[in-house]
Amino acid sequence: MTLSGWVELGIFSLILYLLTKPVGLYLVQVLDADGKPVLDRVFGPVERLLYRLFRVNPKEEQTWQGYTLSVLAISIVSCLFTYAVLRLQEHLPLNPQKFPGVSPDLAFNTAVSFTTNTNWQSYGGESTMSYLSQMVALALHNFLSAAVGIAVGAALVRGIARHTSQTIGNFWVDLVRITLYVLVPMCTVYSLFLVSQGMVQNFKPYDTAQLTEPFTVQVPKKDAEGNPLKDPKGNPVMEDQKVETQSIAQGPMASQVAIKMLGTNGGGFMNANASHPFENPTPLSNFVQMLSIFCLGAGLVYYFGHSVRSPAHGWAVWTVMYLLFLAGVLVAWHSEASGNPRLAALGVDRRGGNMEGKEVRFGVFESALFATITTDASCGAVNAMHDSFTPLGGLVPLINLHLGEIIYGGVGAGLYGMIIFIVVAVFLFGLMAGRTPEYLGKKIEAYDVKVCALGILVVPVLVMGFTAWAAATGWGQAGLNNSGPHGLSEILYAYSSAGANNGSAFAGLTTNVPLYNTTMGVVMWFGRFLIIVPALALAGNFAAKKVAPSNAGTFPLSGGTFVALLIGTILIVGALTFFPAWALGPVVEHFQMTGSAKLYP
Amino acid sequence: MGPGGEFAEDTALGERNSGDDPMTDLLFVGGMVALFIATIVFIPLLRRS
Repeated sequence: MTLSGWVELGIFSLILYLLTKPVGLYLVQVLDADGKPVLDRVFGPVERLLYRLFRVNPKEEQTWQGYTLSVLAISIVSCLFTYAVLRLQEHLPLNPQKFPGVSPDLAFNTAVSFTTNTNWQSYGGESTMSYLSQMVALALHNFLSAAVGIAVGAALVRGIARHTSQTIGNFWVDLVRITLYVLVPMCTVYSLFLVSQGMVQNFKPYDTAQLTEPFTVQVPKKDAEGNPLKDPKGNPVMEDQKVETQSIAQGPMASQVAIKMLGTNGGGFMNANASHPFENPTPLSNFVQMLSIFCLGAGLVYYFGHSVRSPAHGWAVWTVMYLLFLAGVLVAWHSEASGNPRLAALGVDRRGGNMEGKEVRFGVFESALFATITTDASCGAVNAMHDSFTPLGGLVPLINLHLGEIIYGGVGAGLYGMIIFIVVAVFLFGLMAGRTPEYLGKKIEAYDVKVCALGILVVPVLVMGFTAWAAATGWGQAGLNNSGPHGLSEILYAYSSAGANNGSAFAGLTTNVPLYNTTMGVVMWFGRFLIIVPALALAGNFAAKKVAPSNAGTFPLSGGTFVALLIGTILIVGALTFFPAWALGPVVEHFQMTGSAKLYP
Repeated sequence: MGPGGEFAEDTALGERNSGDDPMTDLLFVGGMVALFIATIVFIPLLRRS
């Protein structure tokens, strides 16, 4: 653990703290029904034009049912649109590499993945997707799914802030204002910054470079019709192929990367994502990309505190998120810096830590920090391969996924996930202390706890159920590149990433087969929308409640006790559900690696 | 980020594609609509009585 790492962690934390309030105040301007953002003079006419075109009355608010229906309607329509574009990309323009249409199961997986802000990619972007698919079918969702997340978070905040109200806002107004005033301007500036760092942004066909050192590989021999040949024993016949050139991918990367990070989407233009020098060219671009993942999530927490007229409560929630983030970074960093003792036994110098699967430009600390941030939020972009982390280093991203990515979180999703945990924490405290549970002046009733329980239980049920199915069957095991506990971790991570709408991968599991593509699509859909529906139901119920004045028995919503209680609830209710799976995967692997030969040879 | 699409292209897992006929497309489009309907059902279910 190096001094430069500590300094960078300190600077990162300080800038995040300093950004929180201004971003939060700007979000207040955008998300407040009567707010007038500073960019109103630029985008105001466009906003009003959009309302006229789509016949939206911005003054007309929706009940939680109407709001939910709007969220689901735009999600299914855009999902079907993306499926169609991916299937038909060979017939559409902006396809200089002449990529064929994407297979149906992969198109389904990808359409659902981007609709749900997951951005799981069972494909390599530069070898599968045309520029049109990247820019229209996928980037559309990068904006849309991020805006939907923020809108749902804002609706829940409004529900808590209001009293005796039947409405929680207008989804279409929220969608337009978030896109116009937050995502578009921020991404425009951000893209230009990335281009200044050397990131590619063009429509050129891929370049071909002559290799200075050609090499030979063995590939399956094919007949005249392109079918692989087999010998009498059924084994594939191989032949030598000399490789003399290399394709260098091009494309509109900077514009896609900006929203990919800011919207916590994570889907890379390139297969190697943020470890590729084109997609993450400099140390500064790496730092800003990490910061941008947390930027809006942190601002939303301030917006929350401001809106419910309890800034101290907002900062207490911010502190909980920061402490959980810090714990994750330190464990992952320490584990990666310690490296693998089995390599040391073979005489390998381990002073540099565990560098397997890491980009040498970033090293151990930047990789551990990026991995923690990207899984704290629901981003999923990676600058190192999580599959190659040490068992405990890899356990940190896994735990973050299982907590529900509430640590600043996916834009909006992190906030409504955290509020669900807060309601449960306050309810549990009420039970322990014998008081009527009360949150910000509103009594918590059985209905509130039931919808919160649904929101919390959806992901564990999906993840554990589908992991068990895949781990116990041939199709699930066929994609594994590792056996033993690490293999189980690969399957568990894949479904956890899908269920939590993260999209990062352990990189060791081949999922581009029909059953993985299909089942993960189902998990991603329900992992997103079966949390959004209860969150909006909670918003509607809170909005309708009366406010009771606080008294001596009211549980304090800021200070050390609240912070400790909330962290305890998150860890016990959220994380321990998955403990048996951790014990069978990364924990066993850790003991195997550290040389407890008698226990786990 | 995905688990290595380029590896997936070359893997020996057998059938990579789920087919290219219109019925397969119909199946997946129908599947997406079914997911949508299965989610909408929760709106009346969660309505407070």
